[in-house]
Amino acid sequence: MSNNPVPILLVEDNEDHAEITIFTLEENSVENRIIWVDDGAKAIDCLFHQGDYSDAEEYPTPGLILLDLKLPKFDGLEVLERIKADPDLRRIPVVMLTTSNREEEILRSYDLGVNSYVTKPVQFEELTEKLTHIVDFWMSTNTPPPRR
Amino acid sequence: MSEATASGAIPEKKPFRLSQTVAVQAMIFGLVLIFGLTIAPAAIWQGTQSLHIALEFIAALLALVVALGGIVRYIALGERLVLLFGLSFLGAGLTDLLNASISLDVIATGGGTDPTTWTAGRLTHGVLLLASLVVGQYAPKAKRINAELILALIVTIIITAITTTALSAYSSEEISASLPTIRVIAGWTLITFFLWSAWGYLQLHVKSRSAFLDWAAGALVIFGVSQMYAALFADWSESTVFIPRVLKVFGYVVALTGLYMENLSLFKETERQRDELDEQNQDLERTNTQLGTLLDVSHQIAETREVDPLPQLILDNAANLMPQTETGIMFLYDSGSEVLVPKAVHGFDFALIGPMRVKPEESIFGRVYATGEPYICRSSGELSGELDNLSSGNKKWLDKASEGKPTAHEAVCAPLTDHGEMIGVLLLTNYTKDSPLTENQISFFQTMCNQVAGAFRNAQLYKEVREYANQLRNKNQELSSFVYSASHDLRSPLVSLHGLMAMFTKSIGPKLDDRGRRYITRLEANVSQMEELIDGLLELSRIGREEVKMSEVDLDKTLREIGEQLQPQLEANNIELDIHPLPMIVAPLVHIRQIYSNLLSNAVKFMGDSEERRIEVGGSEFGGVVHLYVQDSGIGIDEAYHEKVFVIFQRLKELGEVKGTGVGLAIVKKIIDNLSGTIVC
Repeated sequence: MSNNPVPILLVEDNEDHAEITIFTLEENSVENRIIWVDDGAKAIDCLFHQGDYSDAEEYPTPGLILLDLKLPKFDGLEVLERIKADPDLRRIPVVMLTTSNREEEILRSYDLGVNSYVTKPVQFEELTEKLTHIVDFWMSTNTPPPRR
Repeated sequence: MSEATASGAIPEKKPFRLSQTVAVQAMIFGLVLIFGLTIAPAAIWQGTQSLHIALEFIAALLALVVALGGIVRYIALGERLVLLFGLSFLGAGLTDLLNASISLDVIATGGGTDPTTWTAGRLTHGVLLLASLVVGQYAPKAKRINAELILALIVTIIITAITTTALSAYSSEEISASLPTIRVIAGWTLITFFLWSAWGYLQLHVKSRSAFLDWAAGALVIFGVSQMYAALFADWSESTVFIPRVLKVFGYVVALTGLYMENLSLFKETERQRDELDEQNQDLERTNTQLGTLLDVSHQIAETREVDPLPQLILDNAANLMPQTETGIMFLYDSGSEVLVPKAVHGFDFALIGPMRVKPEESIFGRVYATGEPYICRSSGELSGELDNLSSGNKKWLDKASEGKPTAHEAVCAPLTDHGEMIGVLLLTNYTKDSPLTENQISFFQTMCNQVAGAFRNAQLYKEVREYANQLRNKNQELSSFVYSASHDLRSPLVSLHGLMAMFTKSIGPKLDDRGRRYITRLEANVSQMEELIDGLLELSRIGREEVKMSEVDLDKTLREIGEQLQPQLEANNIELDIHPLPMIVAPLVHIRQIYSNLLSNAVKFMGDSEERRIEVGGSEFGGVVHLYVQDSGIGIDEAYHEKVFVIFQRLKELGEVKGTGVGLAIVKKIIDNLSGTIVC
C-alpha cells in the first residue's frame, strides 16, 4: 500500500466515518495510502507541508482529496477555497464526501471549483460501492495532472 | 292662472320663451296705440260721428290685443282661462264695433241700431266669460263644477241680453216712453250679473291668484258701469253714449294692463326661478366637487394599509374639503394614559402642538370625545371662551402654536367613531370672517370623519394581522429549518451505525452465535426504520420550503410511468393496477409524482389478504375543479381514523412485515395543502 507514491487525503472529523471509509477502501483493495486528518487546519497544514505535517516525505502531496463539509477549525468549504486558490494544489481533484445534500452547500462547492460532490449513502453497501467507484475513477480511469 | 301654474308646477312640456311673448304683445300694443293716437285726432277733426267710430275701433283693437295676449299665453303656458277671457273681450269688441258701425251708418243698413248684433255681442261676451269662470272652477283638483253658479250666470246673461235687446229694439220715442220700466229691469239684471260675477271672481281669485284675472275683473266693473250708465242714464243721443264708449275703451286698457302685469309678474317669477336654479346648480356643483373629494379621500384612506401616515392624510383631506380652514389638529385617544394625544396638525407646528395631552371632558376636544356629539362654534368670542377651559399646560402650547395667527372666527370639532367606539376627535379652524363654513361643508366633514374612523381600525387590524403573519412565517421557517438540519445531522450517526454494524459482522460476525446474529439483524432493521423516518422528515420539511415549478402535467403519462416503476411490487403481490383516463392538470410534476407514488405504494402495502386485488386510479374535471381518486380493494381505513391518517407518525395497522413510517400520507397532505387542494379518505 504505502509503496504507492500517490496517497489519498481523507479529511473527516467523525472517527467512525473515517474508520468506515478506510475499512471499506482497504476491503476493496485500494492500494493507495490514506492520510487521515480530523480537522480543516490539519488538512491545510498537511497540504502546505507545515506545522506537524512539515515532513514532505511522510506527508506527500495527495493525488485525491476526500473532503467533509463540517469540520472543526476550518470547514470543508474554507479548505476547498484555500486549495483552489493555490497554483500548485488547485489541480488536485477534490471530492466532497458528506452526509449533507443542502442545495446551497452543493452550489457553493461547485462555485469554489470542487471536482465532484458525493452524498454519503446511509446503507453500508451503497457507501462501499460509491467509495470504491470514486477512488477507482479518480485514481485509475481519470488521467491525473502531471506531478511536478 | 292656468291649470298648470295653479298646481304650483313650472310648465315643463312647452318650451317657455317669455321674451318672445312679451315682445309680440308689446309690438301689438304699440301698433294699437299708434293707430289710436293717429286716428283719434283725425276723427275729432272729422266730427263727433267719427270720434265714436274711432273709439269703437280703438276698443275693438284693444280687445284684439287682449285676445292675442291670451292666445300667446295659452300657447306658451297653456293658460286656458286667459285665452277664454281674451276671446270674450275680442267677441265683445268686434260685435261692438259692428254694432257701432251699423248704428252710425258706417255700414249702410238703413239706419238705426241693430239689436241682433248688439245682443249677439253681449251673449258672446257673456258665454265666454261664463266659460272662463267654469274653467277656473274646474281647476285640476276640483272635480265638481259649481252648478248653481253656471245656472245663475246663464240666467243673468240671458236676462241681460233680453233686456238690452228689448231696449235697443225700441225706437227713440218708444225708449223715452218705456225708459223707467226698462231701466228698473236692466238695473236689477245688471246688479245680479255683477253680484254673481263678483262671487265667481272671488272663487277664481282664491284658486288661481292671477293678476290678469284681477285686472280683468276691474275691466268688467268698468264695462258694467258703462252698460249701467247706458241703461240708466243714456237717452241714446250721441252725447250720452259717448261716456259709456270712453269707459269701454278704458275697460279694455285695464284688461290689457292686467295682461301685462301678469306677464311682468311671470317674468319676475321666471327670473327668480332662474336665479334659484342657478343657485341650486352652483350648490350642486359644489356638492359634486365635495363628493368627488370625499370619494378620493375614502379611496385613498381605504387603500392605505399603514397606520402611521393615516392621521395626516385624513386631516389634510378634511382641510381640503373646507378650504377656508387654516389650522387643524387630530387627536387620538390613548387608552394607556387615558388622554387625547395629537397625531397630526394642519397649519400648526407639530413640535408645539405635539406635547398637548387633553383629558376627556376638557374644553371642546374633550367634550366632543366624551359626548360623541360634533361641536360647531360660530363666533370668535365663544371659541376663545371654550379654549380658556383647557388646562394651563395645554393652553400654553396651543397659544404658542397660534402665535402670529389672526383671530379664529369659526371652529368645527367632530368625533371619530368606529362602530360606536370613540377613537379621537378632529378640529378645524376658520380665520376668515367673510367666508363662513357652509352647512354642506360641515355635513361633508362629518361624513368624512365617520368614514375615516373605520379605515383607522382596518389599518390597525391589518398591521396586527401582518405582524402576526410575519411571526408565523418566521416560526414556520425556523421550524422547517430545524427539522431540516436535525434530519441532516441525524444522517451522520446513521452512516456510522450502518458502517460499524457491517464492519462488526465482517470481522466478528463469524464468531457470533445465532442469537448474536439475530440481534445484529434486528439492530439493522431498526437503523433502517430510523433512516426511513429521517428521510420522510426531510422530505416533509422540503415541501413548501423549496419553490415549485408549475407546469402542465399529463396525468395519464405520469401514472403509466409510476405504474411501470411499481410493476415489480405489483407483480409480487399479484395486484392489478387499473388506470382510467385522467385529465391534464397544471401542477408541480415532482409533487404529483410523489403524491401518486406514496398513495400507490400505500395501497400495495395495505392490500393484505384481500381476494380482489386491484388498485384503480381515475379522475374528472368539472367547472374548473379537478377531482382525482385512488381506490383499492385492500383492508381499508376505519372511518374513525380518516382524519388521523394524514397526521405525521400516525400508523394504524401493522400488517405482518409491512411497516410504515407514518410520514407518507403526511407528505401527500402537505403537498396538497400547499397547492390549496383537499384530500379525503
